Amino acid sequence: MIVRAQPSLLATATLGILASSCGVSEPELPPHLEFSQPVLELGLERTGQVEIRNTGGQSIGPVELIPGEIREPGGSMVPGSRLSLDPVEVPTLNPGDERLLTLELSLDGSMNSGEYDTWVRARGPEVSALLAVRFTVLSELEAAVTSVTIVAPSFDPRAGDVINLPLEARDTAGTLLQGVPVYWSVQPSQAGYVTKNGRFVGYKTGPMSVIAQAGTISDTLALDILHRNIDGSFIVSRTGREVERYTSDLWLHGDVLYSGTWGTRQTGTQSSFGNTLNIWDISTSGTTLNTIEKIFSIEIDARVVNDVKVRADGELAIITHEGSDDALNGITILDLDNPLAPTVVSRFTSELESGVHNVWIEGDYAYLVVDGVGNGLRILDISDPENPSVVARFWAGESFLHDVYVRDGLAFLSHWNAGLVILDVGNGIADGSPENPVEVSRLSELGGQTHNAWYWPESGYVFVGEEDFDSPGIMHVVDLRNLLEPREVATFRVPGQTPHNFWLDEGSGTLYLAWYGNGIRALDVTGDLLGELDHQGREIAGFIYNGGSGTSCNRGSGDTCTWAPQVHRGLVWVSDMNQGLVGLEPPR
Amino acid sequence: MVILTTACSPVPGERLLVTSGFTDQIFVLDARTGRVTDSLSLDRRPGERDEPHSVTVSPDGSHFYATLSHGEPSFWKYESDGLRLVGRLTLPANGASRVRLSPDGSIAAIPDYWLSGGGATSRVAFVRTDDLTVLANPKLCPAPHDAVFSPSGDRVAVICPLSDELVIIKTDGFVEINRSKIGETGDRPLNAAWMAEGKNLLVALANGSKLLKLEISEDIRESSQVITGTQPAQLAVAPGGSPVVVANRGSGSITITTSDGTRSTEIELPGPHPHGVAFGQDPTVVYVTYEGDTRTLGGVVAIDVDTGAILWRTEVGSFTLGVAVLP
Repeated sequence: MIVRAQPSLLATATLGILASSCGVSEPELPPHLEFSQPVLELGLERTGQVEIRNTGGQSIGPVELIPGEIREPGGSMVPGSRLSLDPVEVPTLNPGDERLLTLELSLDGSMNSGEYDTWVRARGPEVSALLAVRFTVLSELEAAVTSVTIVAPSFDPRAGDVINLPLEARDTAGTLLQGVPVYWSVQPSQAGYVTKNGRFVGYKTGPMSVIAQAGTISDTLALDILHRNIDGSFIVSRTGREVERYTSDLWLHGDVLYSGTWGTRQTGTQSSFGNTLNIWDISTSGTTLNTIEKIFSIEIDARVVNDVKVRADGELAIITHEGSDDALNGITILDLDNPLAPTVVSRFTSELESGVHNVWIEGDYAYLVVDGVGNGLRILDISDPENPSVVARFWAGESFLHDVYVRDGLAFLSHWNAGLVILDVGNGIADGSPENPVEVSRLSELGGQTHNAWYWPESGYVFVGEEDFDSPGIMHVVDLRNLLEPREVATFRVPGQTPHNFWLDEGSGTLYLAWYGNGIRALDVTGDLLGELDHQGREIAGFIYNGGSGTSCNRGSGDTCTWAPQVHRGLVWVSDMNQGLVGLEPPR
Repeated sequence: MVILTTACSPVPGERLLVTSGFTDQIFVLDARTGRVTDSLSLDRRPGERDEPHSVTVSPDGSHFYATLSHGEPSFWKYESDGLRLVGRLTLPANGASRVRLSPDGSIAAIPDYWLSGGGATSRVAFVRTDDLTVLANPKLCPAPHDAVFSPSGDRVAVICPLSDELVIIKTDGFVEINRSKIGETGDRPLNAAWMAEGKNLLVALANGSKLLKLEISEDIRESSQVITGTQPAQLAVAPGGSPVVVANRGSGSITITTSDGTRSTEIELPGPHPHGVAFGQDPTVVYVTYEGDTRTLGGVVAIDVDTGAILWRTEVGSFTLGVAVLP
């Protein structure tokens, strides 16, 4: 007979004591995010409120609140329209906590009437929630319309060509009606984008229709969109290998290429630091026909030499300091009497102690980007390079300045979450000068993380980079034909990574965009620009020249990690963080 | 009778949290051996430098907090168990340096170390740690660097390097109750530590190469000085009240001293620019970070304060700054 002994109460109690002394406890429910309602119907309202809650058992934070894009019913993104949220981030939500979220729509005047959908995502570490948002754009005068006619273009446009489609809306008497709201659409949907004013750009090639409706009357225009036919490819022509340090920015002048270095790089047991400016001779070959040789290096007190610029006359260069040992940072001015062996003229640190991230030189003035919120721009008089002095300062009032670009007496400040800020530094439109910069205008609604800008006066466009590693980022095209009212008209995206620096070959209308792990991209930016440029066959070529996943730089590897391009003597030179320098034959 | 034996999961010993300003990380080290056991990324902008600066642990050990100085300065909250990020607050500030907690851990003080502000008066953010709400953000002096709660938690000593001042705030209402110039003009006070009795404050003068001991009552009165190495940075008082250890950034050493300076030793560190100082529960062992320089990595050393012996050294990080002990 087998007797099974029941566990005694003493033994059970002992087990319990031991269990609790080992810290064994009931598992907590994980955090859980939810909105107070799944759908927010705004109708004709332009603001609304909901709550975001943590209904789980653990704290969660930070919780980012990410607005969706505004897209028309056909699916095309509407430039210049945006959903804004307040707050954009909740620092932490303990279990049971909730926060009020305010939504505000800012709609471009070109929007067609109709019902629209967008969304808000609440994203915490590993947990998220989604809110659907719906709103309506209504028009007037629709009832008076009895006939609608779209005036056809005289040619078949290519994908990416922006054409105006005049429209005649008439009443029963045949009178031409002015100011009639018109609903435009494209069939098939997402084949193109058309504004409220009848500006159209095709995304796909082949037959499609543009439909205009005013009231209950509509007209359909059949189009056959041609291919843009701008294929091309990059070819690697020269390389300059730098694998001991990470490479940052580059600048070429004459036969010389100057490149900065960045951060801390470990190769095996060796650590190397971003304390060096490298100088390369591009006129002769290195160890093989296609390589360039590093001729000289200058070590400075810095852990990052983020930027190098050479003045247009080639007489001097400026390099930037971050993370200096003496905590003074600032800039170093170099004499380029021997361009292959620069000498230090001076180091300037006053008001620059928190670090200088970027620089632009224009004549006797250097425009410096000082790290940190509240610092902004410093303009230096460098007419006496041995004794420069700060002559002007500017900060946009919020966020921090990331980059500066000066052209035609205008300084374009890429001011992170304050957007693009334009200063008169000699243009005259606002009576500004380098010693008295005056703000002309700004465009705050660019999605934040405004990183860099290139102004093309001939076209009136500014190409603005958004360095967003989360989304990822995009390039915004801003129409600056009215300097006082900049507005976004187009975008360009490459999925998987975020863009970095740009260079525009103005002669060919080709914008070269460094796109980190996604390599170098070449974009046709000729003509008018509108809508989503990545849907228009305008990308001439994209090249991940050293391989890699395309979604990450994988720093420290040999993978592609493109920092900046520059067109110089027929080649597109790029600095690559991981491998150094690459000179590419351009795709056109 | 049944004898039951069981084995509990091992409770980890003390760990060090160390900020690496130029790799945007917090490293976690075994405090006994100096071995790196983990790292946390605070790299909000992978293409830019964000600079984790200061790190501190709540009195009950359940959470730790760090500041990020660059980009848009921010304040990060982690659960110690699992090293899990549970909150992040973008600070209403132009810069961020140290973070200090009230004795009960409910409030954090983060000065806005706005060095490039041209002398503009700057603030200290007082943040409720539970939900990361900013309770107050008073304007006090140009580029405050440290703001230390008194042992009772009723006052905060704010250190103002650019104006050579000490400002005393009462935590009830966060209003200023006293202000005094300390040291000589240009001495640049940087960091401070209260003595356990809450009546005396030790202040490191970065340009004065000394420690001031100040009596804090209705007046602020200097009672003694201790000569340190050059550029004293952080300082910490051992559990029990003695000794005091000061990191001398300029001379590459630490000073181990009694608070009145009657017994003081200077010990050279094996790495450049000592910066952060922290004690764990053992008052005989101090942990000191060193920044490294533009050619070398930073690191951490553990030192026996009685003998001056270096117990271990670990090279870790670049521009290695703050250190705190996780119990």
